Amino acid sequence: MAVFRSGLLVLTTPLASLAPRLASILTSAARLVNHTLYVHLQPGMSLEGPAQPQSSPVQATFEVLDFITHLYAGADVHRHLDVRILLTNIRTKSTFLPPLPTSVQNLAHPPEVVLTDFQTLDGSQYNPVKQQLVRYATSCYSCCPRLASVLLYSDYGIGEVPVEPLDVPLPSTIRPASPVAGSPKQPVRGYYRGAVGGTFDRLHNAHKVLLSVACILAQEQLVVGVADKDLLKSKLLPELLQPYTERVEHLSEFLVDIKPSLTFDVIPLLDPYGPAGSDPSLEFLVVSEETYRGGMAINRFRLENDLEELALYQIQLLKDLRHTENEEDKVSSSSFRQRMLGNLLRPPYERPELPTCLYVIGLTGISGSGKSSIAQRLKGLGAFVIDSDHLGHRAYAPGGPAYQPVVEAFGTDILHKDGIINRKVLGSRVFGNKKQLKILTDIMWPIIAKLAREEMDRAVAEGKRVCVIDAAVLLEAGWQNLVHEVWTAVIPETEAVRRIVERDGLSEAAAQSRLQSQMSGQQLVEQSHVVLSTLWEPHITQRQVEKAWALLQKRIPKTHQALD
Amino acid sequence: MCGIWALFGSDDCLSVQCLSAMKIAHRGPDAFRFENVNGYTNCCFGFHRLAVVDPLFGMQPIRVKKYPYLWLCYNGEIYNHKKMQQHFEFEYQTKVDGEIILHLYDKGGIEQTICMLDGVFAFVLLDTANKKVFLGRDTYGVRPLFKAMTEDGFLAVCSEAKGLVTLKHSATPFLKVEPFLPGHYEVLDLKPNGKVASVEMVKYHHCRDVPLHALYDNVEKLFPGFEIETVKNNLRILFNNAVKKRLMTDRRIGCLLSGGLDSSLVAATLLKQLKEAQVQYPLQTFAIGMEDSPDLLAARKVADHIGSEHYEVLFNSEEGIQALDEVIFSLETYDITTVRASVGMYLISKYIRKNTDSVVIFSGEGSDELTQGYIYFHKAPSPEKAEEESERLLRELYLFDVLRADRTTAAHGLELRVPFLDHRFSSYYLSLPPEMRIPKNGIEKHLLRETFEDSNLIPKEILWRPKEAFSDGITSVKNSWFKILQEYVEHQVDDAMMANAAQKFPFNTPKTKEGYYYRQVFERHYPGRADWLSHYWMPKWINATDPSARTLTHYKSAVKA
Repeated sequence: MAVFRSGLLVLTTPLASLAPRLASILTSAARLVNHTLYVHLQPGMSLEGPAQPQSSPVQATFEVLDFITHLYAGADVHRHLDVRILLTNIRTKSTFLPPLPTSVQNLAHPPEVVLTDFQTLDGSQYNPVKQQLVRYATSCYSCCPRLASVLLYSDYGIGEVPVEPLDVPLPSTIRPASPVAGSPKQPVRGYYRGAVGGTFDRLHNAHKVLLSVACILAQEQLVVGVADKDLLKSKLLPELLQPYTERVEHLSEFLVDIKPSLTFDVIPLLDPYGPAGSDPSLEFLVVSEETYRGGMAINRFRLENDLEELALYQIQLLKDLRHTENEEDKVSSSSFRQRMLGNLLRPPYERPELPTCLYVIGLTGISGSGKSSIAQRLKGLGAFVIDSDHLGHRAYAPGGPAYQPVVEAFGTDILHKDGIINRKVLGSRVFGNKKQLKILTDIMWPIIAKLAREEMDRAVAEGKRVCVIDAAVLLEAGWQNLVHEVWTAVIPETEAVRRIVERDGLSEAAAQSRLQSQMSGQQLVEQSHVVLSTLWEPHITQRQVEKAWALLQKRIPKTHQALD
Repeated sequence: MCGIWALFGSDDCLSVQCLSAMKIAHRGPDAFRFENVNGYTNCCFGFHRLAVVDPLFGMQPIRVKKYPYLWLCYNGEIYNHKKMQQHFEFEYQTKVDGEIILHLYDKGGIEQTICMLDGVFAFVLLDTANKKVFLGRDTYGVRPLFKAMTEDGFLAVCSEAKGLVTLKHSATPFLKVEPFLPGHYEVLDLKPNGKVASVEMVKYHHCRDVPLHALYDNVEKLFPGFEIETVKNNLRILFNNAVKKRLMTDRRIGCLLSGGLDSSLVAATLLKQLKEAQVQYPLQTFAIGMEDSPDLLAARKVADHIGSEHYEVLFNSEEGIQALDEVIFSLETYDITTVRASVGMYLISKYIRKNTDSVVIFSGEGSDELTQGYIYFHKAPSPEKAEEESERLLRELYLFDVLRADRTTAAHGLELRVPFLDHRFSSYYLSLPPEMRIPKNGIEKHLLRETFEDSNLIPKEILWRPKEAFSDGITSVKNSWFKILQEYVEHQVDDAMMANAAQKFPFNTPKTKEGYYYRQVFERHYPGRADWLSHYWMPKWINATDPSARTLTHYKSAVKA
């Protein structure tokens, strides 16, 4: 069947009987749509009646909220698909009812096809039903001209082993934090203004549940706090977090798409409370299992300041059915960030001045990041490794290219009695002195670069196709001009300090000081093509390196690949 | 600084269009709001805000319960909002100074409203009851406003052009974006389908006219007549008041201090006002230059004299050159003078934002245009011609100096305040006899210097220091910023490119390699948008292909004097 970039799935079956078939419906839809799938809930609607069906408000109940959670959980199997449940017609019980929109709603990705679960009496692709479906879809949303339509029912009945339905949902996966848990049919209360918070890195289906529940509860305004600055420090792999503005951009686009009638205030969250702790006009807060305690703390804080408590709505975490050994079992951004390790993050540099049959990787990272361990693993996989520290030693040696210039610049008192440069004395001479350090690096860095180039020629002579330059100061020295890709090893600073203390016998303060004098992991990652981390067990590191190597083999130009 | 953005009659999806609003997130890094208009699904507002006390305080669009049909998106400060409230007995619902616009509009309509505003502003006002949209901008265009409008009635408004260039409109593949004229307001009809149609564009204020809001001003009474001592006394009163009314903020105040006359007067007056207001924190002043540059030395003297907490920001040639690309992107212009002068200001704003908690920054912009400070005014054929030229410069400020001042600071989320462009101060200055305002005894801005001669506000040597062209003032004695730029563009642009310049850039064809390079960078960021700049800034009464003061022969003799 034809594949469409975007589609609208109109669900007409009552939710209770729809749930067991949801996985099949999503699988069928995912075969037809490959980018964005909008979902419109209109349970009980018939497309076979004589009259043109109209969109009508759907009462928001706990069953609806559960269904939304269920749908996003099911959508997580289809990771390529951006599923968005539209909330314009879902209404909470309230005396305040804004009028229904008088015109069709524009969507970020206008649907090219409209799908439905509606079952015709004879199970055929019944044209009048399809026509009603198209008219219904275009009366609600702005769709592509020549909108296609598909009835999904017949599709998943023919010659296919039915996909196992997902677990039957729990009676109430979303509940207010009160002893009186609602029955599924109980209407959800509406509020004027509420809040929701999170990091919202790489917007995923668990985020969408959180945001959707918040959008349903709010009738007028929703405050969305996006974690920034200090709140990000404890995150796993913070170097791979999307920048704040990028997270806000994706978030805003999603929110306006699913419920454009709301006013959204997007603010940076710089402390655990945010405006939820102090804004008297806020009425509810949506939290997850892991942020529930934070919500309780906010309410205690509010009571202490004579503010009313917020109604807390807790979302259960979505299970990640495809998590690997060291990943969490729930859908989370940190899992996604772990999955990015070893992937190419930006296009490689073009380096026509380098040897044509050699592909060069520059490997860098802060002290203690495990850079050398990764270099050795790459060597084991077939790479030619150039150690820049080793080149430095060669350059410093008597008769080496840097020996004479360094002695001339710093005086003969930096020499041992045997005429060899005393690295400690030289180090103390430049430590904390920017001018002296610059003099030294202005001598050393070009020389090491030249020696590295010579090593590359040796690599070519040995028939190597991939060369790795192991260099802590790769970017400071401007040596990225020698490489096609920059690879960075990252590690939390606390772990780096621990390793430096253990390995080099330094004090913690001295280790900290060493890290302060280097480019941070964040700065390195911002210029990197591939990121790896040695945070976990060695076999996890090896798996990452093997993954990165395999992807590298696929992308290096043909002329770099081994000839059979 | 804030960023405003609004759409009316958008055929394309709002969630895609609102991505354009994110392009100006730098103006208000603390919060962003997106709001749809009830009953019009294709109209919406976007707003970026610098937080005040609470992140949500002062969010816009501003709406008050008393006028539920009014929506206001507004960037600026209205200094007389409390005075107006008391006078007309308005009941304010918020603490936002812009709320006054809603009350005044309800009382007297748009013409009365905009004439009564003492401050700097750019706004979009929607009146759903009367189905009208109003756009307005202050006299000198201190606060920016850009507009895109199609024949079928799609209207988009934004603080910066970059928030409009990526908007989509099916009927118009290339949206024409233009600056909204300062000192004007526009009235548009709002149709039931959310489209708009322009009714009229009105110039409500000319810079030489005493503004209507002066009737309600609380400044002490000015003495009539043009006797020199009377004039000087009035100028001091008005300038002090111009600074004083601009202290309106909860954020920390700082001041740019180049060591030139204007910024020195601003810094000194500001410090005096802050003391009188019993502000506890010290005034932070900021100077930028290359090592050993004359401006840094002069600024240091002023800072020592007035007792500010002074910061000197150094930059080298590499940093200056590296900044050019993002400076031109921020500026949205390729004007030669503007780009040159912006590099230093951009880098110092970056420093201030990153290293201090000063957010509201005072500066001396506008004085050169108002008080005939440019060196070439020595060549004016007559005082009347000089007066004409001064007013032309003021009229065009929105394309040059206030554009530079806004963009370089807003790029880093700072908010700029420019007392020399105060309505009352500037209209009074422009009402003085032309012969009083021309350079005297070979010294430009003679009247302004004379006004503060006896006050001991700033050191005498600074008060009477001749003007440095900006690119010289921040320059090391070893190598000038101007020279660094020329050497750099010499490598970037070859003679063949220059020979082809008229063909490649038919509009505003660059005549120098520097001009060519800036244009090239501009076209990469904003292809096909060269008409945002109607003409290059260029001095009058001399033959010049380069706008720099240093190429004028008089410059050297002025320096010697």
